[in-house]
Amino acid sequence: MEGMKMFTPIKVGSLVLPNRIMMSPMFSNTATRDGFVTDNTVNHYIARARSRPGLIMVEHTSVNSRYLHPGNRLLISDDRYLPGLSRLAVAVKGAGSLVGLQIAHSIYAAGKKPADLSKDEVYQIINDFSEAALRCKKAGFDALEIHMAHTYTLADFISRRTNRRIDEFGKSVEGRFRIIREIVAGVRQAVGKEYTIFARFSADEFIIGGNSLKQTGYYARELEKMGIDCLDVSAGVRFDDGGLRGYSDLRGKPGIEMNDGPNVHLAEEIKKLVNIPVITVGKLGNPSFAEQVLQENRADMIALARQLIADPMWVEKVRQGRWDLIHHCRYCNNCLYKRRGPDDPVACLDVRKCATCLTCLRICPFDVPYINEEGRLEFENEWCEECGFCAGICPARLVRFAEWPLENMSQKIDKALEQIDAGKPKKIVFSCNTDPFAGLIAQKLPENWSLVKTQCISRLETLHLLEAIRKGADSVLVIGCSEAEKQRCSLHDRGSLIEKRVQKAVALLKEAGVNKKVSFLKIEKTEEFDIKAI
Amino acid sequence: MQNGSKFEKLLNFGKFVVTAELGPPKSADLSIIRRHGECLKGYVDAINVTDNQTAVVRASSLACAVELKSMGLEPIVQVTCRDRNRIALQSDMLGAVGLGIHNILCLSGDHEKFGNEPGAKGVYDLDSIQLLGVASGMKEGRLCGGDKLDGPADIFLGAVENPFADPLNYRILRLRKKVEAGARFIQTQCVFDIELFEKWMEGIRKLGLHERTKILAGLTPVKSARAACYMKEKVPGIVIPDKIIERVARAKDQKEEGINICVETIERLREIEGIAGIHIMAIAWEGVVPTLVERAGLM
Amino acid sequence: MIIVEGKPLPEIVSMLAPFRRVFVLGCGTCATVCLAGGEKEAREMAEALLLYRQQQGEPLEVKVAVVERQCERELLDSTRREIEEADAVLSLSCGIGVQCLNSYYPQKVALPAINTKFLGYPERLGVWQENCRACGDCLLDYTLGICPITRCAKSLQNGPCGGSKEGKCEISAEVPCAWQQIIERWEKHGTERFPEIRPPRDWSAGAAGGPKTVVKGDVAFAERE
Repeated sequence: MEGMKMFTPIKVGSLVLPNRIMMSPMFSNTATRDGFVTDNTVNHYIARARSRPGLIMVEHTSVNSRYLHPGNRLLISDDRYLPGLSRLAVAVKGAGSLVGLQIAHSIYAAGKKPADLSKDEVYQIINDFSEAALRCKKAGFDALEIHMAHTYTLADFISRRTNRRIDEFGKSVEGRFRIIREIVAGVRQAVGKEYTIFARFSADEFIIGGNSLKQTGYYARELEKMGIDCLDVSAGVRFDDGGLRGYSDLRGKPGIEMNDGPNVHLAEEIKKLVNIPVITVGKLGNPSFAEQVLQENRADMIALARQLIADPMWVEKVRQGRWDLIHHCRYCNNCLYKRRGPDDPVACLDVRKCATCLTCLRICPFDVPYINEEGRLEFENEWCEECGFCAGICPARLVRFAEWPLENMSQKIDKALEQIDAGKPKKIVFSCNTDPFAGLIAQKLPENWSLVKTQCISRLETLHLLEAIRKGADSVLVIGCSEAEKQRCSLHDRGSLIEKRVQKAVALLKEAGVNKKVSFLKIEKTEEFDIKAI
Repeated sequence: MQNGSKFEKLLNFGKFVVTAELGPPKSADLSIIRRHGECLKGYVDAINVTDNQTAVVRASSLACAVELKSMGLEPIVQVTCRDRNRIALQSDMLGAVGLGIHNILCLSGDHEKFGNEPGAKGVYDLDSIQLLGVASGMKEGRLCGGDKLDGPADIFLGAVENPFADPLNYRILRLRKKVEAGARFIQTQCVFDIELFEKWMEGIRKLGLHERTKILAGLTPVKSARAACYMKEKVPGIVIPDKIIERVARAKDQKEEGINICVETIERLREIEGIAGIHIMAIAWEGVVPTLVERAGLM
Repeated sequence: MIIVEGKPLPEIVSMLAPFRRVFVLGCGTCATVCLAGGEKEAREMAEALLLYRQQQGEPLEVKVAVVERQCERELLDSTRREIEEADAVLSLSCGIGVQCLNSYYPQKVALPAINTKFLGYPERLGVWQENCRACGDCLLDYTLGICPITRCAKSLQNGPCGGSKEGKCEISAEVPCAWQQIIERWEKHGTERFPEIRPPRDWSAGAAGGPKTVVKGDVAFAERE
């Protein structure tokens, strides 16, 4: 809409952005498993570029391939990745938007903390950032963003909570910040004075012992002094606070229950300290609110991630005043963490596939699915325990959970079968991941048995059992909840469904004339269990 | 055609009538009908011929009725809605009247599920009340769809009612619907619970239905306690109080006790105002009818 | 909704016997909601077929897809390539979907993997009830929302038959007597329509009377030549 501050240009470093909207870097899970750009990646960004936000900041791209964050992440650790990234940059620019790249690094997924790294490794990371920055420039990106927020390596270094080093890369605020100084200096040297560099950090980690404005205010001023052109002020997303449902994580992706722009105040405070542009992010899909934030000078730019996943044309619709056409993000976060296979791209829960059969609503032990005021099915994820009853029964297979570490059941079955030597009868055992008894079974398993664990056994579908047989298993055993587990687990009361699925598989195999054994085992008394009996 | 229904005349004359029920054979051999007819001759005023009762395939009701007619007996043809649509029903009724069988009893029919053809497609094009209406129309020379007959069909129309089925308080109203649709005589389901039946009759009299139609109370002599239990459990619509079953079970001669109960019931029925006769359903025990009639003094 | 139910596997494998490349096509509306023809069931079917053929030592190529509604030509066309590449399409849709497939792709054979049972609703998870016969002349106003055509075993329209016992139908103690329910509805709402005599119905509005067409005059264009 004409006259909106949102659509006025802004100078960031040497770049002039045509408007004040940035597509926030958000994982799309579209890369190949080894980190290359795919057609899906290109299409994902082109779709958003068409509505011409001021800048598209391409997602988390890892500067080295040693510690990869789970998921199909882009890589920029080698020149091999340049052609793909270059194609992406050209395509986005061709679609009408400026494009930047976020470079990042993660040791979290490898279970490491800053104190676990040797000094050489730290310098290696610093060096990797400079090299990645150079590649980024070569690939044709207009800007880059150094990711020092959330649960990534640099955030771990600058956080009071996670950096327990006692050398020059730790100890004090200044020491913790040292890695950033080195990286920014290296990056700046690599890309030259004119290149625009953004820095993303969590202004408040929302976690006990984590950084708050007291520390990050200092960082902000220092970043400005070091020649960073723009501060992208995020918040939270420390996984060490309850993982994906922890409060810290939720602050980074404010859910249904939060108000518009719950993190704007952080940008506002940072903005008071610096003169470079400050971006705010987090639940800003309401155009009038976003505009108000800019009007009140609480931030210089707004960044949107999930809203642009929900509606790639949001910018254009706001520009043309057709707010009525906006497909509003529900902030359910299903696009990010749930209801997808490991290779499925991040997308709004594909409601088109949903037949609204309400099976999930009727089976969920936690009443997560509900019918909203518009009469549509929605998920109140805050209460979700990820048991997977819904995934096990959803007839459209729309509701799915990736098995950790981001594999689907088929892949797990493949792996389990591979583990058994050829020539021996292959037996697959499915069991619950949380049942302490499963560990016991794993220990006792004979050689030609292979264990597949799943979060909850009720996630297992009849078709997985058939699949295991088809792929070569000679017998399949499904272990139901043990008595011990029943006392602990809140889900067991509906766990009987899996027994019925096993029965269905048995019936189908019989009808198909396949003489292989699929059986169900319910363990009444843990002590008496003898693996040889089955 | 000229003579009309003898049975109707008897009822109008005010005789306390007796009717009995005969089931056609499960074969093409109709001699059994003649045999049963022979033994009923002189004891009953009219004989119902069932229409594939309990949905078991048997020789056609009309054919057996013709057989009885030829023996000089007065048959009542039963017609159910289960097996025929309105075209077949009307044509059968016209044929029956043409053969001199004027008494037609309209029923819904037992569900096909009970019989020996459970996979059959139940027709139920009309329900029994609609069938009564259609037959009444034919009496005035009008077909169901509105077309005119070349001449009216002289039908003496009957219907059934089960005073003991749920919902009890609607049974009287349902009978009124049947009467309004054209039922001139009613045969009830077999009466074991006489108190309940008396209450029902009270309701009938309140509406004056006994003046607009002739009500025949149904009776079934029980052969044994086991047979009674079977009927109670398996035959739809039959209600037998436990005390009756106990009484039969206790008796030395269960058959005799069954007959005794029946005779006692008849005596009580005769005292009820508005009862025009009795209808004996002694399926597979046709031979008992003369005994019953003699002992009840209805000769 | 159209309620459907899967056919037994032996019936399906025998009808597919002559074919090598089979396209298993689920239907995303009623069949999915009945948990009989959605993506899960389609994949399960594919797995079962593969297993069967593997056992028999016969080759089989299976592809699986689901379209929103198989009764729409345009939606079927989204899987045109798979349909054309297959020797046969195994449709997990009601009879309507199977017929549409066969008529829109006459060069292909589409076979039914499920039986179309009735029009009904889910009573609870995994249980469906029939409550409409598509008779074409709704009388639910008369019975206050309980269909005697469907829910009375004899489709009686003038009251219960003589077999009703304790609110149950004569065919089974599990089936409620529709007329008992209707009478209860009337009593509850104080509308007593029992004495009315309902005349014989015109069944030609529904299943009787040959295949029917509905034409909505204000939207139906003349068919293009």
